[in-house]
Amino acid sequence: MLQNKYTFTQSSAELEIVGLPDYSKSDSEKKISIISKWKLSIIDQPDIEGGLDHLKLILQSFYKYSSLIILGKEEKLESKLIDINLDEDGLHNLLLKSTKPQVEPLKLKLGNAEFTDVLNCFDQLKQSENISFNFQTISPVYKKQGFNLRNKNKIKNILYPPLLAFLSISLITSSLLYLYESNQKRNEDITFKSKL
Amino acid sequence: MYSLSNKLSYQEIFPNKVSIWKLRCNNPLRKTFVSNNLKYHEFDALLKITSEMTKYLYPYIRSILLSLDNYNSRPELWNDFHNRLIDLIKQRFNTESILVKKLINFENSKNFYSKILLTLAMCQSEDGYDRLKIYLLNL
Repeated sequence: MLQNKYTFTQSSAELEIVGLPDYSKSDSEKKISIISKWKLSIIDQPDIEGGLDHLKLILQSFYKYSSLIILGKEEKLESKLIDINLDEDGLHNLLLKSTKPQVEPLKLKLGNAEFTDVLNCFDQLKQSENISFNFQTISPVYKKQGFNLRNKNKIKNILYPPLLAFLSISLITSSLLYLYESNQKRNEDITFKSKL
Repeated sequence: MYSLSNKLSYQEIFPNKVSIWKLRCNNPLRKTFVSNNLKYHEFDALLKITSEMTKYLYPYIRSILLSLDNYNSRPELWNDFHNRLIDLIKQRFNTESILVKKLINFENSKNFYSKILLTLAMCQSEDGYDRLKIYLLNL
């Protein structure tokens, strides 16, 4: 039985998917429902290959990480197979952990351009009509965070300015009151002396 | 933008070029700011048009991002883009506003513009449209 192969290309990245149609679901001959292997090639970087589970996890991590970057949240993501983080130079560090024993993890450094190329390749795969694959669990849904009491810094930021303002106002007014009182007493003394 | 809106069958929302310009004037940072409430279908149409535009502009966006990645060896493209964007902002935005003053500060605005470009580069597909929507709804 011949396997089908599809490639998704975006500038410096190329994603190759190899698999078979699922005839039990009455797929056409050109379709891929059972992915047997995949390969991601990026210019100047080593090729990444794996099985269906690896692809799912990598896709999930890339989608989640891209959402984190867009939302400006913590730009570090760790999972069983892949760790992604943003370094000081604005480059994306990928650490791919092999499932095979005694194989050292692979470190990749992707620039913003390469990272978006890879992400666009994954988007093309997701939109492809020729590849049927359950992607439903991949897109993370982020909602706008409301007031979170557990965030200590947030509470500090909210409470400290008005507290400091109140303290400074009370200190200034109390010192002014003292001056006002002593001033008033002196005035009284002066009037008393003048009467004498 | 207008031809893209026609291509995406948004003739009802944007019947002419002026209707798009009017929506752009909802930006409070613009000199010609008009306070109107943007309707959801208009917001959605603008997102779709942006997403469609980035498909055509992706090679340019990518080149500028690449220049930023290799800023020490090839800073020309990024600097050209940065200067041009600041010029455009000076022309069209209210430069008396503190927010706009921050935007046109060459040194401090680099991260902000790089994030905008990265977001645009990631929004050229259907999933990218969702990403852009998540970003804007979470602002």
